[in-house]
Amino acid sequence: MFTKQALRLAALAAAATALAGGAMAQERLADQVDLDQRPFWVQVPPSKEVLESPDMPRTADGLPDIFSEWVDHYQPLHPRGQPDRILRPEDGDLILPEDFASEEQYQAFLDRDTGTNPQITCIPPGVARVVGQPYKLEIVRSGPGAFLDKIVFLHEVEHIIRKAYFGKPIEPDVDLRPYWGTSTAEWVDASGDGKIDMLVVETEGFRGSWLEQIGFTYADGSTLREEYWLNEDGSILHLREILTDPKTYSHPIEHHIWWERANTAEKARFDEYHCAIDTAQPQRIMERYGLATTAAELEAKQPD
Amino acid sequence: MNQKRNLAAAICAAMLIAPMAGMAHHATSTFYTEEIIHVDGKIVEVVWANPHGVLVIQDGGGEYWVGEMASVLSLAQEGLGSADLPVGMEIRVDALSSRDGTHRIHIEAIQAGEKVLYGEPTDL
Repeated sequence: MFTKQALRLAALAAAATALAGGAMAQERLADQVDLDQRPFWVQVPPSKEVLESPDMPRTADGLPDIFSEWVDHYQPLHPRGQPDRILRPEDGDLILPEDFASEEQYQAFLDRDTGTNPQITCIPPGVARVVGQPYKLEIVRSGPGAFLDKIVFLHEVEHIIRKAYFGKPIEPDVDLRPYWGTSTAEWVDASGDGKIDMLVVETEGFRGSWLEQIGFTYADGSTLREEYWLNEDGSILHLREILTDPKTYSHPIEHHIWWERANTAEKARFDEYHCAIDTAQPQRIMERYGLATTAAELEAKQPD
Repeated sequence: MNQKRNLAAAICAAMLIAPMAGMAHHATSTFYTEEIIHVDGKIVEVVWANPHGVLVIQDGGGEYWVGEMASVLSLAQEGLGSADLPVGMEIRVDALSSRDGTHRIHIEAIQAGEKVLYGEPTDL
């Protein structure tokens, strides 16, 4: 059983990993902090010890049992892995020109218009970004009677349904599916012990969209690789995302996120997501109360 | 030594990440400073929806403030529901001030009298 404090500390451990220079092997933090008597550490990519754990829950057909509701512990996604609130050019060298494919791309980021963020008009985030949202995820798979063998990701945010197909992928209608591309799923034996231990989803055919809240975007033609694996006892689901977008960035963008397996009725509950434009754009509410919504309006309202 | 560095990084991450817990569709830095202000007043409207809950507060001078909160699902995970915020209730909020000087704020903590409803109020 996790306490809230333990989960927060675990999140910090994961964040510390990212801050230390990408999701690399790190020291155990359990020696320094109380993690609810449960050591939590993250190695990305995972070690053989994790992947070959005898305690990993498996389905009847021998797959890692990722089929559950998962409680989010998201963190933002961007080139250097820092928390987004400090990612402004005036904050120093946390976001650098060399992260971008060209000076023009860097300038485009600096000149970004946050008003083009699709979520402020209640449009769902795209596939890479959808995990960077503080909402639950459920993973299910098709049964033997299904025409197509697939994994289905049910995201609480915006009630998003996403499918990754085994074998030949299904080409989406690009006019109707602007962000989601074509996803192919594969079960992989990453440790080489002869047992499946990882789900890999490869996605291509994106049309560009926002990558993250701060205004990072990805371009048409980007590709995304997702690697899902369980911790030793299956209580944590890890995801490593690798976005390759050579039109926009000079290097692949890696992102690690994890979820806690929902183990109570409350955690497993599916909460409805109602997107209200007024709360996505609080300035609409400000206008109703006669408040200035910009510095210029504020100045105009000042008495002479 | 490395362990100490990692612990320091974790603490640093705590300071950086904690304020954005529950943010859904944009970063606080886009619209808000890191300055915490207090707004005392009564609740005049509660919008309980995603991507953010919103509280409208009227302060003692009659001025309105529009306070963005975390997503309502995140608020619920923290134990706060819309019924805890009835219109007319007198509250104090800790909030990040807006970058442009407007009355748009980002609510970090809410108290009603001595009772803490949400977050961790600070003394300024």
